[in-house]
Amino acid sequence: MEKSRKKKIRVYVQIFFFLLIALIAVNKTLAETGGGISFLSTASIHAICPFGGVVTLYNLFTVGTFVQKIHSAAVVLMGVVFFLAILFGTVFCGWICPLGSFQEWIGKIGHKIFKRKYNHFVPVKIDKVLRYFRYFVLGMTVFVIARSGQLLFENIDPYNALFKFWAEEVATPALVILGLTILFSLFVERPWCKYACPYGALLGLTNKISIFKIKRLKTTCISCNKCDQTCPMNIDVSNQEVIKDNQCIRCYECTSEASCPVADTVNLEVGRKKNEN
Amino acid sequence: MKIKAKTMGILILAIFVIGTGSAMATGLWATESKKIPSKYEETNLQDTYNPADIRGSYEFSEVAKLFEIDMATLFEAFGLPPEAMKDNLQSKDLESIYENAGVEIGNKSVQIFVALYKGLPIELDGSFLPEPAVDIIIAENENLTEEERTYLTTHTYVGTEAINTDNIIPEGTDPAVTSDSEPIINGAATFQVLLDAGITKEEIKKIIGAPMPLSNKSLKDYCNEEGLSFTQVKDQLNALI
Repeated sequence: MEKSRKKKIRVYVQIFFFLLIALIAVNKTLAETGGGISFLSTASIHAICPFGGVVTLYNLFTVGTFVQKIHSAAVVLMGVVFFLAILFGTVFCGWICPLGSFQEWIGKIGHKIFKRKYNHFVPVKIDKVLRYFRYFVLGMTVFVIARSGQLLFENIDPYNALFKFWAEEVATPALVILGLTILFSLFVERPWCKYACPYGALLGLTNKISIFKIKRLKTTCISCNKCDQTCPMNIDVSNQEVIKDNQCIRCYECTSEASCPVADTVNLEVGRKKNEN
Repeated sequence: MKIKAKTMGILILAIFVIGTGSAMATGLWATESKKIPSKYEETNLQDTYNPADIRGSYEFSEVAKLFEIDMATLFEAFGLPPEAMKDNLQSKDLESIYENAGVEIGNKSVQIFVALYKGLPIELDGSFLPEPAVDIIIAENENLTEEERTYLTTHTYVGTEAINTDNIIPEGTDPAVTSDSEPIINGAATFQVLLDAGITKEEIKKIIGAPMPLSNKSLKDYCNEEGLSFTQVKDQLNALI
């Protein structure tokens, strides 16, 4: 009962950010037709996406302007997210990103249908190779935008499609990729995050250097493997003492607050002495 | 030191609020382009906005505010019904509104109207002005030069039957988005757009009089920095496509 209540805190934060972005997106459309809620932002989805801050950096340094459709708010958000990532790792992915949350919620249906088989459809060898694809997407995205100074990624961006699916300006490929993401979410937990998200690829690198990390206390671990079973990103938690995996989303599912049955064995922490292990 | 999930939730929200709040308080937070035209370089007009920098994405209400012109005057000048004032019409919308006029009436016409109405210098090109706009300018500006008077006489569009009122709709689209009727090279184009459209670096060099800068640079920004007429450069480039 207590564990279930604690787990919900992340869900509340996810719902908060999802609703915030959804309301801003709807409000922008309403404002364009002369309506809208006055106290709520009418910013475009791109203007409040921290990844926009990343892709505009080259433009800022070389020609002193933002990439088309990106503004200073995106750079500010990029700074906030990097600050969080340096402290705690990829909490943005696990707690904030509305597209990640959306996939997670769709995944609950898949979980109900396929039970234990869910999230284990892709053979491990293929899965391992596929996970490098998001670095290719990251490289291509940064290169194409740096070269053109235009936000060409929006044409394939499922985040843009999710929050503007009613708008004519959303490109068909983006809608198709959103549709595929929804479909695959019924079989695999967070497929876009695992295999294609360029921002997750970048933020994932901070898991190696973040101040706080997920740590497993070997001395109290009973090797029940519950941490492995509940990890949405299929990380082999039970065989590591410090989780530096770039796919970890800091969702707390493996911790002693959630699935781990032994108190104080898997935690997000800093500064545990070596001999404690 | 451990961080519990509850503490993490609070920390995330707090860091977001502090980060974005600080940016807002210090003026670093912007979610849209500041629609402020550049000012004249001439010393006697240094503090005056240059109408030549009115972009197609500017709404009529923004043009009215920036150049202190009554909205009703702007609407009357371009033959627009007063009831359309609430519709966030953009300067570039004139192109579709006057698409059947047989002459060019668009953003450049707004630039010329504003400049001549306010008695400010502007480069005159082939764009036309609707008859009411010409009448308003002549009534308001007694200091028109001979060249400006000749221009107005030869570039007046008479008659409003070609106005396509179906196109007086809230635009709401991003200024960078082009439609089929718009030229490929607009105010949002970067040099990469020119290359993608098949124009060579040599052709670009010929038109701008210098080697092409970085491909991610905006053509309009480059023209403004180098003192080139964006309209002229844009027209020459569009002619190559």
